[in-house]
Amino acid sequence: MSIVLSCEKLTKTYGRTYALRDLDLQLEENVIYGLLGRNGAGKTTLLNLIAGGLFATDGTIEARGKKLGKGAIPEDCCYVRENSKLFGGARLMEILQFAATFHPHWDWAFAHKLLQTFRLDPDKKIKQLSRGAESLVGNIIGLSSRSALTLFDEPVLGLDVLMRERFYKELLEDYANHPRTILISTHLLDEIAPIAERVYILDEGSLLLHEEMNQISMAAYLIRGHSDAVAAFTEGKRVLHTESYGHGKLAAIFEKLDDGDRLQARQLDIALEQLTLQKFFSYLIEGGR
Amino acid sequence: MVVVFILLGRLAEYMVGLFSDSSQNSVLSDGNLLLLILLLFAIVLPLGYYSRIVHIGASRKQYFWGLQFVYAVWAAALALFNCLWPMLEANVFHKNTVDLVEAFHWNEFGVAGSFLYQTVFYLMSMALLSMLVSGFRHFAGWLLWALFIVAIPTGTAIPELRAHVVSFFEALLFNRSLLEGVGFNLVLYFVFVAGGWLFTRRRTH
Repeated sequence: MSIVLSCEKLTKTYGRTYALRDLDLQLEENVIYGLLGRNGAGKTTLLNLIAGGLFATDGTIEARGKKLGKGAIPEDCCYVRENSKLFGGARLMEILQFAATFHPHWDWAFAHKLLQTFRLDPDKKIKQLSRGAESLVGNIIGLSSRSALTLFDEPVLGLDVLMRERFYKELLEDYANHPRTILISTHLLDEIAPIAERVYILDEGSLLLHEEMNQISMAAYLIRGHSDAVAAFTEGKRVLHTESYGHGKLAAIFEKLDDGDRLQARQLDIALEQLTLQKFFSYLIEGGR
Repeated sequence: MVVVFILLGRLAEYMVGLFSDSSQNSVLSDGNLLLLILLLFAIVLPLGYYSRIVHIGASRKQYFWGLQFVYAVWAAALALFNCLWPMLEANVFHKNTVDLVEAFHWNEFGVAGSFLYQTVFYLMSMALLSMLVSGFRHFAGWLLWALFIVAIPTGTAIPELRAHVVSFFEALLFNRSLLEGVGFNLVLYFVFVAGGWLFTRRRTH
C-alpha cells in the first residue's frame, strides 16, 4: 500500500511546553485510523499541523512523498474540526454549496442523503443549529467531500447515541464503496473500535502505541487468579496494570497468547478475558509505557 | 446597508461641523461617503472571514485571491459610482457638494481616466489596510502599524522631511500625469498585496 501522508520527528512547542514531541506517523492509502489520547495529548495539534492550520516547530510532513511547506495543505484533504467556525448567518445549504467548491470529489447526491439521514433542514441558518447539529454539518462536509485524506476531530461531539450510530454507519458504508484514508480523533474509544483498522495512541505529545485494531484485540487481556499463579503467568510478558484482592490478583497484559500460554493459564487456574479498548487505553496510559 | 453608511457619514460630518468653523457650509458628496464601505471591507474581511472560509475547506491561496477579487470588484464599482454621481448631484439634484474626485483633480482625466485613477487608488488603500489587519498577530505587523502611525506626524514635523512627504502625496493623489499617478498607485498596490500575502501565509487557523 502506498503512503498517503507521513510525519517525521514532528515537534510543536508553545513556549517551553511541548504539544508534540518527535512524532513519527504514517498513514497508508485506504485505511481508517483512530487517533486516541487524553485531553491535551496533542491530537488536535497533530491534525492542525497535518491540515496546515499550525506550523511545526521542527520535523517534516510529506504528502505522497512530497514534502509540504510550512502551512501547506495536502492535496485533496478535508479537515473537519471539533469547533469549525462557520458563517452564522448563512443557511446550511449555502455552507454546503460553498464547501463543495473547495472539494473536487464532492458528491451532492450523498450530501442530500446525509441531510435526510441526520434530519437536518438545509434552509436553517447555522446560528440556529444546536452543538450536535453543527458537528453533523462538519461531518456531512467531511463525508461528502470524498477527499483522499479526511481528518475528523471529535466528529461525534454533542451527538446523541442514535446520531453517533448513524454517522459511523454512513462512514463505514461510504468507505466500503469509496475507500480512502480517514483519520478520526475521538474520546469514545469503544465506539471507534469496530470502525478503525489501526490506532495511534498519543500521550503528552508523544506516540505511545501504533497498532492494528485486531492485534490489540488479540493481545489485550485481563487475567485473574491466585497471586502466585498470576505472577508466574505474567513473567516475561508486558503487564499494563495489576491489582490485588485477598490472595487473588488481577492483571492487564498486552501480549499475544499462543496455545502454550492458554494451556498454562488453564493449568494455573487463571481466567482470561479480552480487554475493551477503553480499558486497554486506560491501563496503557496509566502505566504501560 | 448603503443608507446606513450614508447616515453614519452624515453623523460624523455633523459632529465635525459642531467643532469647526461652519462658515463654508459645503457637505461631502454621498458617493464619497460610500467609500467607507471599502475601508470596512478591508478591515472586516481579513479579520472575520479568514477562519470561516478556511474552515470550510479553502486554502490560504484561495482565500487570498478571493479577497483580492472582492476588493477589485468593489473598488471598481465605487469608482464608477463616484464618476457618475457628481454629475447627478450637479445636474439633477442641483446640490453643491465637496467631491474628492474634483478635489484631487481626477475629473480632469475624463470619465475613463477618473475611473482608472480612483480604482487603483481605492485598491491600493484597501490592500494597505488589509495587509495591516492581516499582520495583527505578527511582530512585523505591529511594527508596520507603528511605522505608519509615526511616519506622517514625524514627516510633517521635521522641515527637511516635509517637502518629501508633500511630494509623495502629490505624486500619489494629485499627479498631473494619469500614467504616473496610476503607475505609482499600482506599484504601492503590488507592494501591499505582497505584504498581505506574506502575512496570510503565516496566519494560523
